[in-house]
Amino acid sequence: MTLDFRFSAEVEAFRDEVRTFLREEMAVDKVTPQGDDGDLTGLGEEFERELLRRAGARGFLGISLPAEWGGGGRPASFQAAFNLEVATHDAPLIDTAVTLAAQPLLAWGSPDQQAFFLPRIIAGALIVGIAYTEPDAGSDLGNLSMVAEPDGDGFVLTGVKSLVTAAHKADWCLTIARTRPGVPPREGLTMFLLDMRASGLSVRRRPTMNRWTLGEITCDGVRVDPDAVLGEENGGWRQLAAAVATEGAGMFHIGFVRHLFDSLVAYVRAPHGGAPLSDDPLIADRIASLHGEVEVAERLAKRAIWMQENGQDNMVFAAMAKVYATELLQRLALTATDIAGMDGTLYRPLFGPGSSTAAGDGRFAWEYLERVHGTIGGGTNEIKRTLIAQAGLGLPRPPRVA
Amino acid sequence: MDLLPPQRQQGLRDGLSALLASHATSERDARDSSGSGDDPGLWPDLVSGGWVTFGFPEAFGGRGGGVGDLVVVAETLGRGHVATPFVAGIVLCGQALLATPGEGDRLRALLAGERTFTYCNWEGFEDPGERPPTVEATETAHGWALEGSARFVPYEDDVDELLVMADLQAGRDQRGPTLFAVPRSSSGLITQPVPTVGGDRCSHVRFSRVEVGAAQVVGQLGGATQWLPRVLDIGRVVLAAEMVGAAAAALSHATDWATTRVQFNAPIGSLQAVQHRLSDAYIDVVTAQDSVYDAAGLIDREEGARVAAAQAKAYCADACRRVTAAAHQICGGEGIYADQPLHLWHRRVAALVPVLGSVRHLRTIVAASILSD
Repeated sequence: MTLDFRFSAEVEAFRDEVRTFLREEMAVDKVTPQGDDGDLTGLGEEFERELLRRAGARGFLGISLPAEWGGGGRPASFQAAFNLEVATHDAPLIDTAVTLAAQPLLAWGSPDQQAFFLPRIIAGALIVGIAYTEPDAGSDLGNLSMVAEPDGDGFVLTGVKSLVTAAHKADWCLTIARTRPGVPPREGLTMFLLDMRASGLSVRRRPTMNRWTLGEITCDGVRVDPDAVLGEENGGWRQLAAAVATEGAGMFHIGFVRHLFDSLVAYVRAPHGGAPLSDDPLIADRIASLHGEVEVAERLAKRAIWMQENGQDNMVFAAMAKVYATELLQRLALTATDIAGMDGTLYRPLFGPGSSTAAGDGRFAWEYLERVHGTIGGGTNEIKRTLIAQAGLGLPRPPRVA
Repeated sequence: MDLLPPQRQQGLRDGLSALLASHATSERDARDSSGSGDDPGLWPDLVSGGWVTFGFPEAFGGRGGGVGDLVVVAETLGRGHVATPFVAGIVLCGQALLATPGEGDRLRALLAGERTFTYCNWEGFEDPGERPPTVEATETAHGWALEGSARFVPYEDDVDELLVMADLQAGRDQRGPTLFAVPRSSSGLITQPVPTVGGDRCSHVRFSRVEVGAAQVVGQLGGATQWLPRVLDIGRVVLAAEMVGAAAAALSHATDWATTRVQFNAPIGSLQAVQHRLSDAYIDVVTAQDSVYDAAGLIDREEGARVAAAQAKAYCADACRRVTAAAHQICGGEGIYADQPLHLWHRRVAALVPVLGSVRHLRTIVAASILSD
């Protein structure tokens, strides 16, 4: 059997356009003064917002979202190619708004909600976060405890959301809360669009092991209007399951993978004052083996994209792509720090200053810390493996423990 | 990007699977611990039914199509855990004859099943320059005399001619590897069967001054290096496909077992430890499959495939071994009985892993493409 895994010529042409844009926007002299190691993107909020607007003006954001809202209306490969390039260039455009918020809005948003959010997201004018997780509800979203009590025609939200990316700078976030007490979660959850400036809402920034922060959002009696409800009241469980399942193939992971692999190859080929490390057959063997895995990761992600584009259910393959790429990133980072010896322990933040002898420009140690969370966020790899086994192989669910 | 399985290849897979299934019912009850899984009636049916002519041009009696077809046949044979002369006798010999100008008659006879061949570089003559041939040819008054040995020659007991690569000794201007078709009946040809894990009937072959006429030279003197890389690329991808078929079937077998085997009042497949191991095996199978189909596409589209073919076989070797080992672990004690099929897939993969180049060797090809200028 023969298959063709190459992006089409049209996608490649778009990718070239994106690459040219990013090379200019992310030029070293432009980004270096903008470094902010407290942010996941490694860059300051002003720089990010400006780049979002510029990318929006070029028509890059929402390239695969419907044209009626200002999107590009192109097949999913275009969005995938964009994510790939953005990740390869460390650009702060791995945009939660487009990739995670736009789909639920398209699926369940009211005409007014769609008309407000979608054009602004596509123009790069909004940062929208995702706030589902709570301290006691990580993988087990049935354990959610944020409450939304009816209040006149609206609701009052009380509770805590944790591990929220970009919470400190987001304009809005999607969240979920209990709207009916005393019923199983699948009957009593509702999704909300939460204005981050709402009164009673506070964000605590909590630094992660790699310096950047995640946000803990506390809602202390936050009053929202009825138009804050996204989709069906008490239909949030089903919506959330669908939203998580359509998170996509994670082509941005492949951009990270390519970037790290290329740095590793450059490092072993450099002379370092003697023979290059690539002359060592053991190192050459490891590089060749990793190269095979890099290609495997890319084919998996492309298969998930292709299925999406062709109207097939890609949930199992998207899960495989996520598991494979995030674990490969850990293997790559481990190999890089291992091969580099002491120089691999030298640390430099993404766009910050560091030692001139740091291996991979200080990137290896940063990667080693950064790649820890990939296998945890976006659905842990354990949850994904269970999904692959049950939905992919048809294995039975475990007996329910009461 | 086009990941729709070509319809023709889907049809080929279905037809061949049906034929294998019909054989599986009656003739393969007599499995034994030698692991041959051998069904003496199957191969003649495959040849007479024309199943081995897919992937060869119609001008030579083939059914047309390309490496994609060869991959489907190999993968299906792998699923059926049958050891056959397909890769050595059809793919490698046929592709070598196809790539050599002037060998139309031999190729027609091969595809028609009128004459049978095997390939003496199964162990891996490997790549040009990697290792000298182990057979040398010296010119005589009537042709050539061959001296040397070839290890692990599949099914030599059942062929008319052995295709053997030999290095020409001085005496002519043309030097370098040359392919000879040596009649099995030649005097001085001594064979020693060697038992292998996979059930292919392999022999070590010694050429003790085997004299052949000039007509036994395949193609031009010293010309083998021109076609050798392409034959190696195709051979590696097809071998990878057979391993993938075996791994996919082993996974399917283990999944069925996990679904029906009850312990602690529940199917073991509902246990997370079992689900996660099978989920990893499933990822191994689909990624191995796609690496093969991708490489086959590169060859058929005449794009550079040397690295992709080496990479596909190296990856499949590792991935498919993980899969059959996982399948065995899941199937527990029942899986180790010889009357159960699991060990046959496990054996097929193990037998094919080192053919046409070890994983280590294949990775040197990949590494050179990344690490040298």
